[in-house]
Amino acid sequence: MIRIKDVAQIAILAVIIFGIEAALMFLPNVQVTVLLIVVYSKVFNLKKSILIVTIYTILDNLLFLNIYYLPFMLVGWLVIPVSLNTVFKKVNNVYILATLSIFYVLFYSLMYVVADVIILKIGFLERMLSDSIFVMIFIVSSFVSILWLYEPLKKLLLKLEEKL
Amino acid sequence: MKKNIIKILLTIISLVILFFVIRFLDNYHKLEDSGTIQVIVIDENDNTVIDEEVSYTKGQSLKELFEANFDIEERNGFLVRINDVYADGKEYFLKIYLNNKPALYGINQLKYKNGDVIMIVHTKVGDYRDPH
Repeated sequence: MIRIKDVAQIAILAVIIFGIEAALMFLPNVQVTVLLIVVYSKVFNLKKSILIVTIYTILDNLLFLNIYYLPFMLVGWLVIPVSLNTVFKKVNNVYILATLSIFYVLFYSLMYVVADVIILKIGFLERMLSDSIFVMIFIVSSFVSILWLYEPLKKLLLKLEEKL
Repeated sequence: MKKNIIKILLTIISLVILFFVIRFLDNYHKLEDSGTIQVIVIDENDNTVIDEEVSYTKGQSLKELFEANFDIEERNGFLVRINDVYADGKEYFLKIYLNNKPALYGINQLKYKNGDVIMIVHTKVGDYRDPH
């Protein structure tokens, strides 16, 4: 059973991802969403991480009034908490996590391409190539942010978790 | 200290790779010649309010071309107004078509060539109907 404290924590953490993403919107594809989901997945259990990611994704889709992309985005993001709490559970090295973020971004971007191919009926390769520059920016911003901010953020969250 | 040096190196390498990828893709998208394109704008009532042939010069981006020929407004890289056709970007947006196909880029990156038809349609977010 989820306690009220957990509900509040999940809501706040989801809003943090959403808020930072909205604040960085003026920089196309420069975001720390992957960093935050990776940190949450490592600090909290699978159930809590999945709830945070799901709430964030729903919020994101509500803002842009575009529910068609919701299932694709959900799959794209949920692969992070699921993999980090199962196959990569023991991985805590920041360099490995930063490298993993490259694959997470590629997978998330691929989900968007699949969505566009199905919804907008455009060519797969054409769509892949068109987004390459933005995917590259997304990869670099995720890689660098994990490299520098993963450890301090994890420490901070663990401290807060202890206090709570 | 050693850890920070590795991080700095990895950050520099990432940024250098990003710089070269952007440069390469930017050159790839540059126009090769000059010519004319047809610009069609359809408003919220499905009326064609602009149907003009405009001339471009070498290297001119679609944004520069629009700025020279129309009164446009851009927000966060998205075209939100062209002359009197405005979309708030939340409930409605200005969808760009290149030769009857949804454009994969915004006006800053969209590559076009002589004889192309650029159509801008006032569209409700989530409306995936083909206007043609």
